[in-house]
Amino acid sequence: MKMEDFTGIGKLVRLNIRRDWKLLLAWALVISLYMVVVITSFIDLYTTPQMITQFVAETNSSLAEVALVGKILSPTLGALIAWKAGLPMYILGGLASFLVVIKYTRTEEDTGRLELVSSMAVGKYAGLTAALIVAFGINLVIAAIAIAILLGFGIPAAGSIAFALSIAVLGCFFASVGGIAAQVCGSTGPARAFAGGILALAYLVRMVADGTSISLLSWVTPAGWMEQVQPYSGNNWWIFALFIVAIAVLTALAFIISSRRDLDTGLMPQRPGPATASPGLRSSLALAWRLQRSMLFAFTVVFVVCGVLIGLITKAAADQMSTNPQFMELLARISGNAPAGDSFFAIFLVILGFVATIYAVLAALKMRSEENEMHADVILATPVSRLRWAAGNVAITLVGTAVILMVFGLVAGATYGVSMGNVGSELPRVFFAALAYLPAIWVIAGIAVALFGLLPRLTILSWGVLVVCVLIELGGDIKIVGTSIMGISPFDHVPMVLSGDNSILPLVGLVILAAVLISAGLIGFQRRDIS
Amino acid sequence: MSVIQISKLTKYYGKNRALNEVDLNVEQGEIFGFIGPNGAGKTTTLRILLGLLGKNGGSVSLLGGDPWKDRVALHRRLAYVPGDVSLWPNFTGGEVIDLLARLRGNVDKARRAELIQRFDLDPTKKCGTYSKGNRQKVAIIAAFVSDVELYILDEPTSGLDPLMEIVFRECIAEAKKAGKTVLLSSHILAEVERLCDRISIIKEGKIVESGSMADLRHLTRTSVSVVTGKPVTGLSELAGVSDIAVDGSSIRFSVDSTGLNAVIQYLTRFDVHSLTSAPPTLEELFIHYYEHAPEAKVR
Repeated sequence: MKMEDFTGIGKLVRLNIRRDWKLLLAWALVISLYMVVVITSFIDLYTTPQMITQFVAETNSSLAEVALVGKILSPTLGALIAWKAGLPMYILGGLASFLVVIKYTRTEEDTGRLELVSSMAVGKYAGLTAALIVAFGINLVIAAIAIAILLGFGIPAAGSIAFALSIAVLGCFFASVGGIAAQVCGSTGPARAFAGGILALAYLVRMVADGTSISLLSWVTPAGWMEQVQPYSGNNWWIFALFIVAIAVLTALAFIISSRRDLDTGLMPQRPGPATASPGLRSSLALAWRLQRSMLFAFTVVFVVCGVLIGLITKAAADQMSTNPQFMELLARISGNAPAGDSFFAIFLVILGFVATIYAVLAALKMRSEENEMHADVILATPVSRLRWAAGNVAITLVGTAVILMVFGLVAGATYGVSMGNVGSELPRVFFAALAYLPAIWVIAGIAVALFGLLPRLTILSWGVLVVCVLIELGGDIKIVGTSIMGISPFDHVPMVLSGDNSILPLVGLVILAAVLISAGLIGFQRRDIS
Repeated sequence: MSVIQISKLTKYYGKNRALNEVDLNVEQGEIFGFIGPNGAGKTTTLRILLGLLGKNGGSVSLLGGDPWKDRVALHRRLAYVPGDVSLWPNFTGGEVIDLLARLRGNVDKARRAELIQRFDLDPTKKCGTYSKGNRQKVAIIAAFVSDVELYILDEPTSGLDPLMEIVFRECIAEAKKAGKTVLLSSHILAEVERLCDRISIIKEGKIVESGSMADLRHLTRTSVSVVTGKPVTGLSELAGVSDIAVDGSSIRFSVDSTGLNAVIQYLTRFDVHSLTSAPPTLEELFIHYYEHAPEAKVR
């Protein structure tokens, strides 16, 4: 690597910021706003130290909460905020960081813009460096804003700085992961899936670590390190050294891979493929399946792994919880006489429901990316009607989501049943509890299809809808959000099958809503211009 | 019989008028050239013909049907090569050819093999690794492998090397012989000249000229470059001559087609060693329109 390989970084950084300052601003605003909401709600809800101590004791005695979100490390307001905001910050910060880096590197390459830029006085590593600078920079800005907010509410300074910095270094960590993904994978989609997979895997490992109390495991994942910083209790500053070393190593790795490959390729070399199409590839449905099958396969694998892990953890968690009379009492108050394992399971289902929704939105919006990449033109100029083309994609989205949930229900139900010694009754319960999420997910997919057909420029709003649903769910947990607002989210209408709620009516309602949205999208698509 | 009949076609993108009362008429069995600079509205017109875009005004008839309403039925009878060929990066060229041909009907395996061989395409390579020219070849083969009445080709040769352009021209000639109709858009006049029976020129969303090449020639200048034994004098006094540039014994100028005969006769007095004349390029045609037909300009 020579100095001239980095020429033009300043120009590219300015270009990136000028192009996307609205997006970057929105990212910082969402994080800041969420922080403010969490802080004010906790200040309102827990007015005395006794109340905080009690809440902390209750939460920490729930293995499900501990596995899912982590332990509350001390009975202070600061620790409570760090605990509540930690997970959304992890997801949001990690996701935004790698998406931004991939956008400025791999997407630029995919669209051929990089080729244009490279022909000018710009070094060959300038693109990657500029992308990382923007991502690192925005993470540090967000940390500064978070510190200001926390101090503004009078939260202790040392802990606030540690917490805000842990969010920032985590974002930087996943920015570097995005940098590697962009080099390893041959195009934008796989790069996002690769980095997203690592984000999810890192979280799962921490979940297992906290859920099983195998503390060694939490040292192999950045999600664990974020916890080990212990803001407001230990303030382990040396963890930041660990983060910085890891970020440096990952960044170096991204540059090394970058130096060993050509423009427009990934690390994996392209092998020759078949000279003729397989006999089945003769319809737009077959094409959609071919384009979507690898994503469906990847999600199915993730859900199988999650199903096994969760099915196994639940028994251990339930056993531990039954020995805790205080928690059993609390549980009895919340969910009647539901067994501890069930409420544990229910919380996982909420999370996995959202993950399955990510699949559904990605699958539904595949049509939009096919249109944007001008692939749709080629197909729609053949005797394939627009309805047939779109319906094939929608069908794969709807069926694929069902497959993911059913596979999870089967695997988790079976492992849970085996560990409980009662497959016959546990398997159907878990299976239908998972499947109960399908109509709500279809509604979100329906929103994506409706946007695609009616307001194609705004399909990105589908992700906004998903984020709102997640925030409503998280907000509902700590009673920030009222029940009337919670009702907006289709997920609020999913019956808790595990708690014995077998109502069919809300599911029928959600299916009808999804059908209306999808029909509107399909009709709109037949009447609009293909862009 | 008209295969394509467009009259007063108007299209807006938002407030931006992309097409302004375009008229176009393509007869059965003819090779029709549709030329204009980039951004003039060629692709927009073709995409309206394919039912990918709706129109804001005027009427369009394609193979006797309405391209917006009868999309599926009409698409059985035509094949399309897009201008910016973008294909699925994980598909091989062979797979794309088969898929598109199958969607249109059945694949004639012998024809497919023949075209792949003539265009010298490696069908086992992934589209993501093809150059622009190779992607273009895939789209051209996928179109010509289908036996249809009409071929709509949007700048099909941009990116092809000269050898492949010759193969492409053969394909067009064969299609014409078989009685097919071809609508070919291009910004290269020379290509259109070689292939087309008639052409229309579009500029800034408006058709500025239509007719056969011979019809259009009279409007234009020929550039002449000549090397003489004796210094040329008095050339500028001849009718229709302009842009004279002298460089030693060689001299370049342009001349109206009406004045060409007189100029050639005049030049023989100066002991002509070599003489080349070039037909007007598209650019010169446009310069002509800017100079002589300002009323054709679209605001």
